[in-house]
Amino acid sequence: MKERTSIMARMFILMGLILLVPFAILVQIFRVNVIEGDGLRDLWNSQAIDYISIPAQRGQIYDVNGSLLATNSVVYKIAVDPLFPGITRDNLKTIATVLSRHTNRPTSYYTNRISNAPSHSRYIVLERSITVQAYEDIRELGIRGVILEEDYRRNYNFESLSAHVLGYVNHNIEGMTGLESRYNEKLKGNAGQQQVRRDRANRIFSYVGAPRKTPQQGLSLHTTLNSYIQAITEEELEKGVRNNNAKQGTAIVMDPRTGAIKAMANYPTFNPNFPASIDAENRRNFAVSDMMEPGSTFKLVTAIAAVEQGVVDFDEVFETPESGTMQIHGQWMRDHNPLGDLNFREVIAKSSNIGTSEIAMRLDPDAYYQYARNMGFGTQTNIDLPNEIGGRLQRPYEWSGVTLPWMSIGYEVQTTPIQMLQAYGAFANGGLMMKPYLVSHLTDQYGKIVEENKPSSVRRIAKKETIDRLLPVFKSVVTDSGTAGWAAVDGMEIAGKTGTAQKLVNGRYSSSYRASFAGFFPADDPKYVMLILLDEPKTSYYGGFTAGAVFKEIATRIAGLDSDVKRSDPTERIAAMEHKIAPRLTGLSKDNAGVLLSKQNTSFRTTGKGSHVVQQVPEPGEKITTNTLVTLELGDLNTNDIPEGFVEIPDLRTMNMRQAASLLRNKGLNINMVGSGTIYNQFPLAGELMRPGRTVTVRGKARSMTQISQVTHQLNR
Amino acid sequence: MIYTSSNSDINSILGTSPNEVETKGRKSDRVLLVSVIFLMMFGSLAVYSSIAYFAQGHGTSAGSLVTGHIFKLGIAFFVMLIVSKIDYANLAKFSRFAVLISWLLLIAVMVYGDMVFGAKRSLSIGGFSFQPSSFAAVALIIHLSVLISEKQDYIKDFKRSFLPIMIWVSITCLLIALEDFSSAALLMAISLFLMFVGRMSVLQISAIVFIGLIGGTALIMSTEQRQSRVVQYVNQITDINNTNFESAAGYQAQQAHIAVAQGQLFGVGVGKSTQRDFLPAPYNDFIFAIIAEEYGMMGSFAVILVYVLILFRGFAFIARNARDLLGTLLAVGATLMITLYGFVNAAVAVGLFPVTGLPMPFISYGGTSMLFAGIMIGLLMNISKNSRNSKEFYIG
Repeated sequence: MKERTSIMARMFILMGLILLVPFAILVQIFRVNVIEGDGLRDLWNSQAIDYISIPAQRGQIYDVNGSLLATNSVVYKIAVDPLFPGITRDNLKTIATVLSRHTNRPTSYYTNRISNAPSHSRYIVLERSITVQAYEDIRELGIRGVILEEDYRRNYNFESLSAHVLGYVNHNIEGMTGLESRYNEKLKGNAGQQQVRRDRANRIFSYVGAPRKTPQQGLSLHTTLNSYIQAITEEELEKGVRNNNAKQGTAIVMDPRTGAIKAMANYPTFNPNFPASIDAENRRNFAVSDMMEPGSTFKLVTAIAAVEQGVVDFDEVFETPESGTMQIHGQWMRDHNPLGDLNFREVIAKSSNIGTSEIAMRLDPDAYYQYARNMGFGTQTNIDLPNEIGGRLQRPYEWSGVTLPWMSIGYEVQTTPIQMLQAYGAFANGGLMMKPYLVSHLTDQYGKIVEENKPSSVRRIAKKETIDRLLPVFKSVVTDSGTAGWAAVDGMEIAGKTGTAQKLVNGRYSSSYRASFAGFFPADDPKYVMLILLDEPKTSYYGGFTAGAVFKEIATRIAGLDSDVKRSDPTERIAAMEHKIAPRLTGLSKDNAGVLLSKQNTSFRTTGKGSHVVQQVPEPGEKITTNTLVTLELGDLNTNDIPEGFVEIPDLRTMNMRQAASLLRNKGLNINMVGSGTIYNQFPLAGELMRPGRTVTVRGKARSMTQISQVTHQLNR
Repeated sequence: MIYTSSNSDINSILGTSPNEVETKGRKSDRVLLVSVIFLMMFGSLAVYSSIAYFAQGHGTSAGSLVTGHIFKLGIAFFVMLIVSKIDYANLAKFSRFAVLISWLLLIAVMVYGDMVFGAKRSLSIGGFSFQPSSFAAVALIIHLSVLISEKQDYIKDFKRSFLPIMIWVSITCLLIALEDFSSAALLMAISLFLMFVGRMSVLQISAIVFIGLIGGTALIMSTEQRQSRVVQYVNQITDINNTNFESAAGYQAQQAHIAVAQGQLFGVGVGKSTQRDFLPAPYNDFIFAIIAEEYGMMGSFAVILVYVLILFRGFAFIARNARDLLGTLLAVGATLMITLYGFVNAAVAVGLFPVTGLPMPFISYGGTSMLFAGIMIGLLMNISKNSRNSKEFYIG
């Protein structure tokens, strides 16, 4: 019994001791779970859980008609891990060979890339974007250690079209300039996240039911750009820059009523698909990020200020010195030519610096400054583009004695092209200045409008009456008597102003120039305001000749595109003119001639004595206006002068073919027409006698278009 | 009654006359059986969940490995049933030879064994992988029980009882220790526990423990690597969240901690363990961590309690009611073999013990240990069947 008791006792003592172990285990489980649990679970999160991002698609960029300017496409990226277990030298060579077949790069390019990579590198990118075909071919090789990744690429469908406005993206698809940069956050969207698990070899694998945050796709931009107008603008700007051998050119087209930018171009331009292929200098958008002394286009400020302040009378005559130069506070001010006596309209139309500064000096500097400030100079327009600068407008207390006269003609002030355009836009819009903008609205991936940029007015720069009074003045710039005859478009009224600014290089005015033209059309109901700027044109530095010609080409083509912009029909134009033709009066009696002329409401005077008209000035068939005085020379008609059966050949020169034909037919003669248009030669000559039935040969020549337009504008005036 | 028979005959103590007790129609312990089945089922699920990584690395599927596991469980179960039918007195007759054969196998494994995890532990015989150390442990426990019950009359004698017993134990443990130190240490502990229960001198046993402690300390101090492991072990208990590890074992212990912490009350769900990807041999050494992660505190507590139930059942019912001292000692030894392996594995998984490579009986993946765990349970069932008391001790 004793032994058994002892054994049993020892057995239960042992059991008690051993039971301490499971008890300790239970306590430890509790401790690990509850007391130390949070820290350990944090450790678990950091080691076993990872998140991979699901890239969001970058938003598209559309023009006003819905054309896709910028979009995305999928590309494949290929990299290799040369240390991957099982990958051999031959494998790498095969990959390089297959790849080189698709990319036209030598095989050695890839093998060198692998061998030149830092040692232990396990991710060597061979090609950032390969074709789907190349992707498939590589994948078919089935070599482990090849890393093929899908990636998005930004595509600019029209290549260089509106490159400076759109900007471009870097290889991380982040916007670098232009709208891409300005709206980068909106375009980018928010990348989604997928929770994945990692194992101890750091391999990632996704699993069913893993928390997933779907990416929020980027918003799409709907711009106010019109790709047709943009294309026209770019094409004509390029032509202008090339023809004039200019260094660079900028052109902007805006709707003055809303501030919507229709086109914005710089030349030289670049292809945003390959932004690195051109100097960074040419990727700058000069329209917003370049400031310069504007020159005469700034005279708009002077004109508005002077008219609104009532310091100038439209009939007043400004006498400019015969030399065309004048000293103001010891500095010489020059006109491009000696211009003589000018009224206010001519000061602007002929762009007289002397006249303009004379007007400006009548103004209070503070008032002048306020006008310039109100017209947006010295502050940013806040157009939705990055890197906009505000120009430079000195405050009156910073001015020297010559600042006001010089500023009045566009020196000692620095403006950006977009500021100048905005100011002319305000002028075109009856004095109400609109903020320029490029993006009208943003839509999400379902096309729902998320954000809208409504046209917004900045302020009124001048009274409507001031604008109405000034409009004819600026219209007269675009005539032959103005400085911008080259910008005139047949059948369309344009108002604007030329500018030629000597460039300040290293603090001295150099012999290089910047030619510009700012204008709008149709002048009476402006729909387009446009600024053309050519940097250092070599053919002529006059803004009217170089920039004006570009303006004309663009305006002509826009007018052809936009049915709202009507160019008047040539026949209507003639009908609209008080257009009379001097009748044939020779041979008529004095009384008859008088009746005929009074019927036509034409006054006349007579010279000489006689019953019949023997000669008249102007010649029959010539165009006359209401106030033309017709001179009739009277004499006695001697019918015997012309032998019976003969007729006298009239002078047909300067007549047109139709007039000549009817005249000859009336005399019973036939006509042989060579060429067309105005007759410059005839045979037999005038005054010779011929029998009826014979033929008179006339040669005609069409007058050149420029002559016609000159005539038209002279008439318009 | 056997122990208290008036003549206190050695034969009655040895229990060589089984006919003294009526055992016909008696059933083996059903609680034990249900517990084992529970562990096997739980284990199969845990193995299925945790073996995928291993399967991937060996070009096979988790499914086929688990099928193999269940097949082995079936064999173990079958062996268990057979052993439960053989009277343990008969088994005892061959214990001496079994130990001698185990020694030969242990030597053979050192020469011909397969390398697994840097140690030679298994022999391939006809396509089956076989670990002699498990066999040796079973053989030693049976033989130890036989020796202790044989030497009851002079059990506290140093020369006649302690020395010869220690020779058997030492040789077996030494042979195992050469390749698998932790198994040997555990076997040594079980042997000492058995000797303690078998009324051997506490002083002599203490001396062995003392020598073991001295030797162990000397062993630890001998190299810096071992010292750092001890420091690491202390750290892992005191500062669970520390991520500066002295050794790889520290990293493993922490990963096990993370697994346990992930489980919380109800676990992350069947087959949803993530820590199986971070733990070494999650299907074997760290299977308890996986159970704790997937089934939470509820699941891990249940497993521990099942082992406690086996311990309680083995000691308080089977060993206490065994018909003779041999039965008692065999029951104690077998119970310890099952439960201590389970507890040590769990203690390692929760970071209480330093990292060892001991399997969890009936749960871990692995054939040989399961087979001998089956033999142990079979032995316990046989002892319970041949117990001297009436049915009231048995359920079902």
